[in-house]
Amino acid sequence: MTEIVHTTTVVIADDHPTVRAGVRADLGDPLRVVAEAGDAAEAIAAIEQHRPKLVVCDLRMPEGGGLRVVKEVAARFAEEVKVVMFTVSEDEADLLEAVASGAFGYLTKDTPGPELRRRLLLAAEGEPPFSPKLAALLLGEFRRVARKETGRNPLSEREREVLQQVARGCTYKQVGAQLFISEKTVENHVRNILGKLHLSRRAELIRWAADHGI
Amino acid sequence: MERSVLVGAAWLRWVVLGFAVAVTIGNRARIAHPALAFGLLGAVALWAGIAHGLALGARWRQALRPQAVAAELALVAALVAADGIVLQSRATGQHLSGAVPIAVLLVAGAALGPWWAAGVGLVLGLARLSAPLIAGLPDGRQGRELLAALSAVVVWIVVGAVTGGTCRLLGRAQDDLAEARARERVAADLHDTVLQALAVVERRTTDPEVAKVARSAERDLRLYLFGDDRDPGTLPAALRAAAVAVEERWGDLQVSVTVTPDVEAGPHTIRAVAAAVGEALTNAAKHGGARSAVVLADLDDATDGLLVTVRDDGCGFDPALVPAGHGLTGSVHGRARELGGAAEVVTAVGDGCEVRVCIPHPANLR
Repeated sequence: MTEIVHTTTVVIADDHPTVRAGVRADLGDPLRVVAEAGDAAEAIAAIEQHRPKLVVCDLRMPEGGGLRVVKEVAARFAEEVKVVMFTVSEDEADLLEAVASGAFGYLTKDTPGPELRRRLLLAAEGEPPFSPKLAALLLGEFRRVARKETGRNPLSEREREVLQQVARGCTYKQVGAQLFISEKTVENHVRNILGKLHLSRRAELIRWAADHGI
Repeated sequence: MERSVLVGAAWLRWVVLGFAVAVTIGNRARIAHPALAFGLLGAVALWAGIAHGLALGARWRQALRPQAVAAELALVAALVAADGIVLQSRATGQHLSGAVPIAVLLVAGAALGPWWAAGVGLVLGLARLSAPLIAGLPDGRQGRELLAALSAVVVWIVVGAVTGGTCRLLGRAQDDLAEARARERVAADLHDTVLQALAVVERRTTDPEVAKVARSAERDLRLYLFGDDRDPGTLPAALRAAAVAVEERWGDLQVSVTVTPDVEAGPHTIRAVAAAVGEALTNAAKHGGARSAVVLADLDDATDGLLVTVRDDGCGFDPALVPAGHGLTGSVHGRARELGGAAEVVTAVGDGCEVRVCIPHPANLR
């Protein structure tokens, strides 16, 4: 029984069989692939059926793309299922949208196999995989929000520092060492940052709706 | 595009022909050779029917052949020249041909280009010029008649040339658009297939040579598809190009370039920063033996200027043992100073190395 408890179930969603096979081969115990999906609709069906702990999800897929999967999961299985974007996409708007909609993290497809496995294991334990590219995108996004609205950055000074360190390519451990905080604290900051993006996007939506009399 | 001109000309022919027939019937009392007049108009009508059928049919390209244009030209020129014989235009002020020549000018422009279309205009003009000469010039009105004919020559040449030129320009624009669309489609396809496959190969292979080949193929393809090479102006493109150059030279190093979306920099800054980053990366590979490096260009919140960092996972070094301005840091410092900024190197033995270049606002906009 204990073995089953420690197993992390994973659904892989990507429209390319080669990519799915590659990821599957990289994972191995204790990450157990329970289903593969070739498009967003299949992915959602598989998630409904298996309720995996993790979803490794491409951004560009038929039937609505990874964005649809993220939104669906956020609406129905939040907290329970974590979606990690796994993509070569450099479309910044899409990526930000995915994270704002509730994606747990972002990894690029050139991430080496062992690294992918390590990051996914950490993700299962609650550490959002967070690439420098994503961190840089968020830095820009929060500055944009700050300039446009209150004139104040929604991030705390500490959070901004953490984000900038990650954007430079530091691991959580290195960030912690540089800022004299624990790795766990860095992780918390990252989660807060992602939450704030989510909130700021939602606030923007609500404001937009109010402005347009909806 | 040629086809729409053909279809337009086909309908135009009916309209102008109808007008010409109406004028001829209205003036039938003054017509010298009704058989010739209605015969010619009939021939033009027959041609209008054939051309209409061609333009709407599957073999519409036939209507663009020089022979087709020449046949219509001969017919219309005869009609124009016949003015002098059948309809005493000098008495009525009307012309047998009316606006019929416009259709052949349109088709000639689409089929043969501006020069030939101008030639068609010239031939029609000469036919028009011959009409009053055939009819004989009435006393006291030669000047007016000839002037009217000459102005028709000029107008038709110009119409032919302009139509031809416009058609050619439109044709080119259409070709460009088609090429751009095709490229976009190819880009989308390849992005979804080949690029993904290369990324997988790169990631999965244990053979460093294979990984290197896949990486360089992916980079070439990206460059071609997304045009980093065609848009050297932006900071991300320039930094990526610098990173690619170093990666090609030092196969073991993998560089990730990140630029926050709101960063702005002028051309002078872009060139210098890209050069500095290239040097920092070369040092990371050459002296640090780094395997991966992250380049970040971000706004410096303190000064609103530009902050560029190059961080590698190499062996690092003891700054105290490397004299200032020597090798590793010299030219990076130089380039930063050139821009009114400063460079800083943060490193320790065994802990990688980070080069920070900070350029104050608004020097970064130069």
